[in-house]
Amino acid sequence: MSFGAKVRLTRWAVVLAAIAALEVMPRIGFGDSITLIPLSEILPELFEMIASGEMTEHLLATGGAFALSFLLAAVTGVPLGFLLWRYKPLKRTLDPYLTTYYAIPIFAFYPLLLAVLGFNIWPIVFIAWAWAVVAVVMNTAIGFGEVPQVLTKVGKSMNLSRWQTISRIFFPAAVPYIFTGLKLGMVYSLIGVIASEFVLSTRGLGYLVSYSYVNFTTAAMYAAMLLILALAILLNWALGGIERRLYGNV
Amino acid sequence: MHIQIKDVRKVFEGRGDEKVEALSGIDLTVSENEFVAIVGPSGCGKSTLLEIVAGLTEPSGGEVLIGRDPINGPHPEVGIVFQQESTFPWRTVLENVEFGLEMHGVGKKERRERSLELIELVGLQGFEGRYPGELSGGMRQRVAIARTLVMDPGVLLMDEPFGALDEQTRLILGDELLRIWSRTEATALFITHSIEEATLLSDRVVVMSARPGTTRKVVEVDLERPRDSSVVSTPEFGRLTGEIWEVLREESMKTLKGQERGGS
Ligand SMILES: Nc1ncnc2c1ncn2[C@@H]1O[C@H](COP(=O)(O)OP(=O)(O)O)[C@@H](O)[C@H]1O
Ligand SMILES: [Mg+2]
Repeated sequence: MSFGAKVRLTRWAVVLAAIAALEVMPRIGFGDSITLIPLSEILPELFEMIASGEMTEHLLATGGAFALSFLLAAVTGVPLGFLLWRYKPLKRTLDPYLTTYYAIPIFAFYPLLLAVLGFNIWPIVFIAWAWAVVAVVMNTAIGFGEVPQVLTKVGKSMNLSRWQTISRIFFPAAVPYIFTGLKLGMVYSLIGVIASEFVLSTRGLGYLVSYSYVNFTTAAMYAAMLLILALAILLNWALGGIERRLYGNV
Repeated sequence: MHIQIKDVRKVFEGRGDEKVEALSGIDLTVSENEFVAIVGPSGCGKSTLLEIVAGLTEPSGGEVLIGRDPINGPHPEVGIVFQQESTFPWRTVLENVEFGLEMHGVGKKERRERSLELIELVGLQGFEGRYPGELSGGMRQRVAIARTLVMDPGVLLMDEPFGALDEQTRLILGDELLRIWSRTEATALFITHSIEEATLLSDRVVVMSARPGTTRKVVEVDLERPRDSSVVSTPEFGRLTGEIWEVLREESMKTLKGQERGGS
């Protein structure tokens, strides 16, 4: 068997082992029957909730808040990252804030956000955006900074305009870094939305998890978790696909 | 188009008071359609000189003329191929070669035609749709050469384009370069650290001194054209490379001794 085949086999084995453990552990009495239930009971619950339409409003609420916050993080983060790279004094001024940024637990400020923005979708979108945008900003700025000098010399030797140099050399050369930022930003904004929904919402997958937990409807809780997991994997895969499209196959 | 390099000097201002004198008064004229190679110990200022001629670096003194134009920025008639990897990894071979034409607003049909011609000239037909990441180092350098040649430059500057490759590959690509160059009418200034490559390709070989760089010796290469790498085994070739090596050896020793003393 080739090395690659072994790696793939091992990957699947890990997934299968996790699924098997989730199925078997509750059945052999590991953990109590309220907190841990077998996968074979979770999946029918999930399909039932989807089919009955019960899941729809939660999925839409989470999906909407996520799409909004991620889109905002992308359209604000990339230009901000560009500015940060372009204007060195700006970067030097903001550097201490940026490097300590993720040490700040933004979630702790939710009462303030509720007071300012009201009990609606916006506190959630704000937290998720704030959590995601800096990852996009930092990676974009790094990406522009890492463009090999020789590529800009090629542009200069061909008498490119400033705009052409930025749009046709710097930007495409920075794309892999920007995508790293967007992928992180996507994960962060999903985390931001789900975590905010625990306390800031009466709808959404995050709300469903916490509500089901409090009300001992464990199967529904796991169903929501499974859906979150599926969503995260799907989104990451989609963005990876776009990246490969844009950048050939390197 | 000819190149005139007149008393060109370059001092790099380092951090603090530290200054690096890279070039100290280079004089060199390359005639229309002539092929001149420059060899010299590493760090003697070869790349600096080429970038000054390309209008990418400002000299601290002296001047460069391309035809009749004094250089104070990139000249549209000058094309340059760099020492470092310089293809655009996000563009296919064809898109890389089309780059300059596209930036200058040449129509799609015309730039495709011209680019395909150049791709064929550098022997990359069949690879038009590939990305640089899928090619070998030698193939990528040929893409870079085609990307420069498609602009039809009157002056072609090349900075160790095959420097990263082994000697055999280099000589074979040298053959190809001779063939390609004979089809263009470009005046060529070519930098290399390989004496064989310099002798095989050029009409004259300029040997530079250790840093700060000056022209230490100019060797006329009176080997018949068209040539190919089979001249490497002739006694005349051996005599020429021997002559170059004698001077280069001395200068390289100076560089080495300088490094051993802890300078650079
Ligand atoms: N931008 C720069 N700033 C400071 N020193 C430089 C710069 N570019 C080159 N140098 C120095 O100038 C000298 C000549 O460099 P270079 O022209 O690259 O040499 P070569 O191409 O002959 O190996 C070297 O000592 C190098 O360190
Ligand atoms: Mg060099």
